[in-house]
Amino acid sequence: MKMLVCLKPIPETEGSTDLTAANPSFAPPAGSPFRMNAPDEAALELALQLRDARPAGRVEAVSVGPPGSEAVLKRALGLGVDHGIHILAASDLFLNPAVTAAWIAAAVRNGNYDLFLAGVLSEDGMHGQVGPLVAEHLSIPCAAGVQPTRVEVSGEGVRVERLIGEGLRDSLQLALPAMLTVQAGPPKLRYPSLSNILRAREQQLAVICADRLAAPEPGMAIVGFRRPQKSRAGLILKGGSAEKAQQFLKLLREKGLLG
Amino acid sequence: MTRPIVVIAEQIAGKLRPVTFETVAFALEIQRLRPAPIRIVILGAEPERVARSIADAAGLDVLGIRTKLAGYNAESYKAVLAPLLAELEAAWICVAHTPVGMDFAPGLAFRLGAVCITGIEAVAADGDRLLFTRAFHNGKMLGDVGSRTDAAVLTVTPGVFKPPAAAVGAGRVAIRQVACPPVRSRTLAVTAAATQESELTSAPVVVAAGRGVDKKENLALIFRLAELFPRAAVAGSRWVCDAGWLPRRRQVGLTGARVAPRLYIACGISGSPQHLAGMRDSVLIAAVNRDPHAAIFNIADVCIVEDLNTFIPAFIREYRKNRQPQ
Repeated sequence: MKMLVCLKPIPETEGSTDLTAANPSFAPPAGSPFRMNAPDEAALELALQLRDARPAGRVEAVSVGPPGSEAVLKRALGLGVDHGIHILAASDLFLNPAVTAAWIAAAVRNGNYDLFLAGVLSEDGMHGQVGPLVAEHLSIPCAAGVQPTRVEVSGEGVRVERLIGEGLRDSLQLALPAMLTVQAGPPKLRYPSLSNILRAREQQLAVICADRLAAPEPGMAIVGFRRPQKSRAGLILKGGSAEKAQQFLKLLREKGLLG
Repeated sequence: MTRPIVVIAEQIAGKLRPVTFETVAFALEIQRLRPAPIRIVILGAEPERVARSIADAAGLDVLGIRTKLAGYNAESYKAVLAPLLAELEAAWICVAHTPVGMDFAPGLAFRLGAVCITGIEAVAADGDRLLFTRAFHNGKMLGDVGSRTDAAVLTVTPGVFKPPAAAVGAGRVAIRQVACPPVRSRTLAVTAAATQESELTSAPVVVAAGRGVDKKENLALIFRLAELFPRAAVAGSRWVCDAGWLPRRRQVGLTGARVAPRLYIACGISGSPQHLAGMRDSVLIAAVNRDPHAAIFNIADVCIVEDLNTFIPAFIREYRKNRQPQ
């Protein structure tokens, strides 16, 4: 079984204070490090486990991003991925899900993969679209938001489960090839092994320039970013942990919530 | 004729989901900014009865699509809806931002040559265009997004747009038969992932644990905090329940329970839109998180920037010290 995992490189600016209107394009500062999108880590671990459970399995990974972001693919090789494909995108277009999906589909269309895996969404863009859109380009079925611990591959295809709200779970069967997008969470991504690290050092990534791949004009126009307004009082307690605890206790007692 | 706004009704196992009326509320908001007829579309083997009930409740026209469909199926939805929406010349296609909605919305947009904008929390007019506000970076940033395509598929965050008040008149119902092409995926079963926790939805105080608890052992702190209150339930984020640290029935959020207690204490919860959808109507929200930029602080009444593993023991100490005599 041949699998392809889509790994999004996330610039390490997330959560820092420089993520403001001063940097509205979300373009990462030149030279900033990249890490692997957390739900993609779950997809990668799932792919490696599925491969390890069968004699003739192969896991390849694809990533779209600017120079430097291939660190994510290098890490994947160190974890046991057999081959990495880096779609080199110089511009910040790599943040548009429709464009990203078109590039990935164009690059992997003839790869004869049986199973495609991606994270359910990215931690920065949060669009949740790349996996389903790649499936559309390739005309294959897709199940979004599956639980990585509940995926079984058999001769008939792949069987998955997902939570669909209101305390319900659905289980479904998809014929292969198929795309699954995976929720973040356990199992945790494995640690690299020494043999894989040594192998990864020797291994070259396939690099494809994005401008050689077909992609649509982005239909989404991001006009600007801002910090969310606080929708409530947002009283910020001050002081050390003991002072904050005193203030919180006083507040709860005043409101009659605590005796 | 003005191109219509279309709402796709959400159903699971043939049952209409109430979130549909929140999507209708969003469609009414678009209609206020860009006057156009609203059509609600519902798919099913026998859509008549549900279509009638929606038309009565929403006071809007409903188009029931009768098709060979045992339940929700992404491939069938996309195959049936894409040509229909093209024929209706739908301008804005509104879908709930739920696991089901997110399963078919991007693919539907693809087939229509439309943009898909997901997780919408607000809409505003900006000159000729509409701008949709959605969360980025786990809710730490908001982005205003416009569309450059003729049609747009929009997924609407649950819990943001309140269902409209009872309709004055009833809408009309039209039924149309549409063939459903063969598919390569099928639902095997829809089962209860957990019995709905009545304890969780009825508790006046909910103490919720997120990824910030770090280790399963630290959950003991959450239980100790909850024990200080006369009637408090312990809840968890999806991550905590996925990890098996808390049973699924204790999960709050989009794929769990929706709660609105008098007090919600979010401990180590970042505040993803998926979690907020399950608790944003709580009367008083207190958040404990070591990240001062965590999105949970934007909807909190009381913000405690602390590591919960430090703060909760400190709080329990203070509580014991200052315990007023009964």
